[in-house]
Amino acid sequence: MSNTVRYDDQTPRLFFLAALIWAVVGMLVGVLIAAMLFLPGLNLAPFLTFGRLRPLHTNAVIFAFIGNIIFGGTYHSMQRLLKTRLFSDALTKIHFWGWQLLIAAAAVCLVTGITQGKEYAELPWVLDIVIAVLWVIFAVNFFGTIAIRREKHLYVAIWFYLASIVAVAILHIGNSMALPYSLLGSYSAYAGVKDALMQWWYGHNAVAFFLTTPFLGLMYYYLPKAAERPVFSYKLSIMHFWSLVFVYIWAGPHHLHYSAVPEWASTLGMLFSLILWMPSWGGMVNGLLTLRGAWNKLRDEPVLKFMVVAVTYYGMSTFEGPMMSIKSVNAVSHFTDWTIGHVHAGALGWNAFLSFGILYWIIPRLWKTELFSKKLAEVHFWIGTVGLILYQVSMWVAGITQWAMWRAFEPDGRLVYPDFIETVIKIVPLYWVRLVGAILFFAGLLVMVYNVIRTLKSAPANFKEEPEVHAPPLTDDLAAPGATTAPNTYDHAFYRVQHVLRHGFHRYIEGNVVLLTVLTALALAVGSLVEAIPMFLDPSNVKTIASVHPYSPLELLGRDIYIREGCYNCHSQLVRPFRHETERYGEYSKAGEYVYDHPFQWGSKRTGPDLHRVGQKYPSLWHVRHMKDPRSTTPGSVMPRYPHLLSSHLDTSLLQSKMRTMKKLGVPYSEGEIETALSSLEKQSQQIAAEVEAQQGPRGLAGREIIALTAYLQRLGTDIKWRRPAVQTAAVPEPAAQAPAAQTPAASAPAPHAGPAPAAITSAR
Amino acid sequence: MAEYEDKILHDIDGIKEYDNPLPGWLMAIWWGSLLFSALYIAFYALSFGEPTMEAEYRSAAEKDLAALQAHFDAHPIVAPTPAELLSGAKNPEVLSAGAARFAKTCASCHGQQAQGLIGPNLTDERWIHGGSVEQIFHSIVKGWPAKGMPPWGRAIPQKEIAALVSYVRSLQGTNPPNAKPAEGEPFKAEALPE
Repeated sequence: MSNTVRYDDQTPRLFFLAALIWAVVGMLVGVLIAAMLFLPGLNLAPFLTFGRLRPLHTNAVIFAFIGNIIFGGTYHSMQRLLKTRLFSDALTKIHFWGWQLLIAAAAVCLVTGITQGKEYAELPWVLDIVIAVLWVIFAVNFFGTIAIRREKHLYVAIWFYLASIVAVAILHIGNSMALPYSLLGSYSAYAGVKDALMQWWYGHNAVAFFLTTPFLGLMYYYLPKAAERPVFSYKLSIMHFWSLVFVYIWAGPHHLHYSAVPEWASTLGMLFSLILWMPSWGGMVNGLLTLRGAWNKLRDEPVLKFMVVAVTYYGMSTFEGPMMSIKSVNAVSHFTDWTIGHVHAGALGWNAFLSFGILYWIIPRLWKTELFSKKLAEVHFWIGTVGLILYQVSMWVAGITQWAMWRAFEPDGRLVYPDFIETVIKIVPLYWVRLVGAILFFAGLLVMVYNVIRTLKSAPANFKEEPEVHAPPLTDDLAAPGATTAPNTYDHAFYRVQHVLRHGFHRYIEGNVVLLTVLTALALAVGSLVEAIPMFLDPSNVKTIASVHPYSPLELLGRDIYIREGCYNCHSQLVRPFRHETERYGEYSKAGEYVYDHPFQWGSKRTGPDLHRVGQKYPSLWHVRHMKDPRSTTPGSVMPRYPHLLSSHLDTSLLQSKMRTMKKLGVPYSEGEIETALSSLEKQSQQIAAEVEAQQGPRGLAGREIIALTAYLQRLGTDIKWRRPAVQTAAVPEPAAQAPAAQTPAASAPAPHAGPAPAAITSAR
Repeated sequence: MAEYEDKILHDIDGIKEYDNPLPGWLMAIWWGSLLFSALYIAFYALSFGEPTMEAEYRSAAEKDLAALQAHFDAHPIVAPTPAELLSGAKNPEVLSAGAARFAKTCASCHGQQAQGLIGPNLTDERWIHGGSVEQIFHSIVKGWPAKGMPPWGRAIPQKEIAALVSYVRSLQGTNPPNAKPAEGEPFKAEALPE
């Protein structure tokens, strides 16, 4: 074996450039949808509506931009940390091109409405399998590289990469369980409350193990490199690595406070989020204190500026996060723009800024040249920072405003803002501020792209020459110096254990990748299993309600349209047990109402009102008109128009296979119902179309998509009987029908509320 | 930060690691959060604290409703008399308040000119649920939920409901363009006061 190794730097080059390209795409879509939120005219075509572009934005920035940074950074740093070339050139190529093709395919699916309807996990099942395969390729390459390493001990960055790879695999597979009904269509294997728990176990830990731990790994490599300072504390690395990996996985249910998810789960989610404070800050402290003695370098080094702000924002977000997970704080922040501000503080402040810092540092090195302009990097830093602050502050204010307006009561028990639209119009100015912030941030990115292009142009012709370093292969490492045989006495064995412990047991784990992987997987498994097992095994967590029955064929197809159009991106389907919510929407949501919801559609943000009790609230014609032009029924509405739903014919070709799939998932459709599904769909469609016509609406809508969607909306939340609590405010006898007013004595005398209910004005509404 | 020894432990690819201890304040957060969690669980599991989320909601609702009932027992809403409602139809102040509320709340279903859209035309002489001012008042307050008319008694202040009724009465016979065909029974509107 040779004593030298050559690093593959072409792979990181490709990944970093791809990251930059996807960053432009993803953030451009972000700017566009930030504008769409208050300029609904920008929803130009069905494939350019907010509900389809928002998933495109999140997927592009998370999995394309950040994903490529993770791969590039991991492949670049691990070769140097392990003193070896990547395991397989073929696998790295497949990984790179596969990932880019996957993203392109994902973009096409998302704009055409092919989605599974679960946030951050929208991609169709076929692409889910592709993701899994590519992830396995990444893992094989990663562990293969570790296997051929020429450095005995794994540095903390490698631990974090390793934990990310293991965790993302578990999360992705766990949450993506679905039963297909066609090549691109499927229904989530879980329903309602269980689906919600799985989804946010995944969703929260995608933040943890895609946006946090890989980036901590990158921080541990690139920050000390750029600052040329030692890492502050090895002990802290150990402490916060293990606590982070163990604790993070529990925290998911904090996305589901005051929901139909059982309280024990929500309580665990809250407490583990609070416990997560130290493990998160451990990373920040180790990052910032690494800069001790290097703070003066900040003045003229944009790379360090980006990194310091990134680490600081990481600290801020991971303080804000635990606070928002406290139930009573969450009651304020949930469903509002505060959450949007919080995620962008993390995504822009931590992920994007750290990525920018890394790119400014690595690109000149990978291309063997100098950065074209430090000044432009400074410009990027400052406009990016201003954009970031504008974004965050506007969303804080918007969130608090929404909460305050949603819950405001008059002294006589009326909501001060009973029309949801008032609370939307109020925050439009803040949406403008956010748009300005977003544009600034995007402009900074464009400055960087220009800077990078100029830098690449100055690269010498031989920049692709692979660096060669001296690294002798590892010798067989036995448990004790000089030991050539297995221990043959207890004393001998004990001596070897002592040898291991002399350098700390953790040092031993760092040299033993199998042990490290097993321990990491165990740490991840505990929280996952403790939360999931009772949920799936103990039926008392989802109390069934006898009156809840499966969706009719028409409603099922209507629901698929709801999912296709991404309605869940702006509308929740979860009324929380708060007075102001039950007053505004109706009875709070019960776990048993969602048992046939594959997938659940609770949403996480209310740009529009909650829809769980919208069924039968309006005449069907209202929905038809509202979909055709939301401004016609709700002046000031920011919802996109969906006129095509009135002209498109409902595709019923997959109806029966959809119902059979649902049946396999436990929805009790009888074989007879499936056989006669088309005719019963026809019948209900005729019925609703006739209702719309009777209300003087457009004729001939039977068989159109709008009727299916209306059927679904009219069904929502109507399976249980409920009424608003009422007080009696006065006695006003109901006038006899058609009796001339002159014959009815004016009833103005107050009467006690004990009087007969039908004769009184009550607060019931 | 002079208190740290900064002893170098490892060196890997030029990155050194110090052997510094865990910062005390950070560990205080760690043990504090663990202690808080233990107490929180003990407090709730042993039922010293609040009851379940549902019970919490129910008691909050009960308390709210009791307070409201007390409020209305002391200050019952006095429904306006037909004469008051009719005279409002001649009062420009009342009419402009009614028109504003109509545009905001009613126009989306009944049309900007009350010509009927999703809900019925309110300007003709036929009424599905009675056309007397008192009946209109009642229809607004209690609604006809089965037919899609929500009860507005709690969402709109009483005074504005009265203004709405006066406004609707004033629209009788305005014959707006694109009116929805008449529905319901004929009703001759009550005369307005001189």
